[in-house]
Amino acid sequence: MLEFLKFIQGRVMKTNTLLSLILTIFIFSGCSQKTPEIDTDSVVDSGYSTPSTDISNDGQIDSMNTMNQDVTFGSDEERIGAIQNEVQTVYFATDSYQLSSSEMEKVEQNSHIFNGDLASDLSIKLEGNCDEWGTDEYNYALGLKRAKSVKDLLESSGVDVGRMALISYGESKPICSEHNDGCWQQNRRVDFLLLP
Amino acid sequence: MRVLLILSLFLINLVAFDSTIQIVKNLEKHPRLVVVDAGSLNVDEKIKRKFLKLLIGDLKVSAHFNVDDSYAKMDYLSNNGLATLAKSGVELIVKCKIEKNTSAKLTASAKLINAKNGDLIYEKFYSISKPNRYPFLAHNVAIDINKYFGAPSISWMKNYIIFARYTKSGESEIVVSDYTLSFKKVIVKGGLNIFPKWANAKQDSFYYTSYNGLHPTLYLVNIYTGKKRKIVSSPGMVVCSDVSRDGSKLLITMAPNDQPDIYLYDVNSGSKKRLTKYSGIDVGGSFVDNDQNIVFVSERLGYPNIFSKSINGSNVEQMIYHGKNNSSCSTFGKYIVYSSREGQNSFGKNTFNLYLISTQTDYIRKLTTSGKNMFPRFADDGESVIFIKYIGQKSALGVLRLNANKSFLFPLNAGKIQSIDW
Repeated sequence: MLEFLKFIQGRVMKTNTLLSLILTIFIFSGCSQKTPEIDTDSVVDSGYSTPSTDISNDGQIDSMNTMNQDVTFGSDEERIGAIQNEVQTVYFATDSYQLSSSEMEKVEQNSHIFNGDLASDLSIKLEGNCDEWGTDEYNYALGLKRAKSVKDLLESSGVDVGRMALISYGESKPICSEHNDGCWQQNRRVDFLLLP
Repeated sequence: MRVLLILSLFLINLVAFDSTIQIVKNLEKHPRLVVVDAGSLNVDEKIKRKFLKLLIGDLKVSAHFNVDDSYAKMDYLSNNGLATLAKSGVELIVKCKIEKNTSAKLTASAKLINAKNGDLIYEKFYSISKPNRYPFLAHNVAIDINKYFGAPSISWMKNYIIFARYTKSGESEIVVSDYTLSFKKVIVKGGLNIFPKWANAKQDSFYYTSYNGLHPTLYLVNIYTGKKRKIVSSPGMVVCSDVSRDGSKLLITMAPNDQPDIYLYDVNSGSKKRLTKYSGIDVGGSFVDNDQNIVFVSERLGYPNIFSKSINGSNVEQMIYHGKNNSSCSTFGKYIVYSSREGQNSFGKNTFNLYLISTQTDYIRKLTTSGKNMFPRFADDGESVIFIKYIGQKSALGVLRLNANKSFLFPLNAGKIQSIDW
């Protein structure tokens, strides 16, 4: 019975996601990556290469499975952008990499999206982040453990571990730059980046 | 006077053989010294004033002189005005003149004079080819004056500091500066480049982590030739936490299997050995006891604290038994300096203080008493510690002189420091 309810919940989730996707197709601007510049005048020369994110633009999707047959996207970027919009960021308590029950629920919901037909071919980059408190290295390790907690739960929810990669940005990518509890809460998070 | 100073410094060293024992008050009498403006030629007035201010600051930071703050001007060649200074109690006069010569070099002439009798103790000339590096002229003058009196060396003043500072979300730059932050030069910019660490005592190369590729990657860069070499990359994170005294071994935190652990990396062979295996967080390895042991930060007791282990053994020993969050440390020989959170929560006031301990004794010396003091790093002489002090929304570079029990702050005007090395 429990399995059946989960199955139904999954299908409802997929249908809701699908409707949202249809409504939210938009022009997705790909992530840009700045090329690092090293001062050549005195100290360090250039010669620094930056791997591109290599997002393909030729992925016109005109044939979906039965459930998705009415959905078309101009490109992979549009498809990824639409799916990305549905994914929920996961938040953590101070100094912790344990998921609360409400955040575990978000991860479960994200797993349905990742396992859905529209996203099943995509890779998932889990980006761990911290608030401004904590010291240099420890904060980066804490961000990594947060990403690892999410990865473990996604794996147990059926997301192929080979699709997932982790990175920690420590406190380097704050969403909010004010100095208060509410702001710090927003920065203790794991973001999900979908990649072709 | 020189004999008296040497004797007093000897006494300091006698009581300071263990830096964890706090010196409560200075028993020695330091000579009263004044820095005198002896003019300039082809040099901006602002530069000259900054130079003199830096020299005064350096001599104060040395903690070996009683430096007078008053402004005095004298001719470089004559001793007119000397009697007035002597009458006010000044014992030593440092006369300085700076000029830009025809080849655009900045030069400084410095005389050390006995104020009591006008005798020239010594005279020395300095030059630097890049005038914007004038702070190093001032540091060199101070180092020589200090050296003349046989005081413990302050040659660390001419060492470079390297730090990463965030410029905006997801971006940072790596900066080289002098210890007062008066001279600053951005050497890596664009993207996220963090955790700079000097590769050797000569400071001709540094390690840093670049986040501009597929995985975080550790590079070694020679600052003079620009030659750059990839050391290692790792999913999740990779950081060079410490370099052995001879530069041949690194302690690296990396996570090849999504698990942050400490590895010993051999620079010459490229081989690495995993030193920690705890399933939580182990980071920030630092060599101690002639590079035979390491101390590191671990949350194996449920909160970040400092532990030690031998390079070859498996036993782990807890080093600190106070504080709720001891998540940053630095070592020199047998000494460990660390930052400890003491408030009831992460965000209260007066919560982070610095402490000094030794692996050989049970003494604990509290180095700061208020504010948020973090990122401690030993200088290469082991007698000075730099750290970052957060004051409101601003931060400053602090210098602690352990044997003199004094600290000095230099404000950081822009950016938040990510990591720092000396």
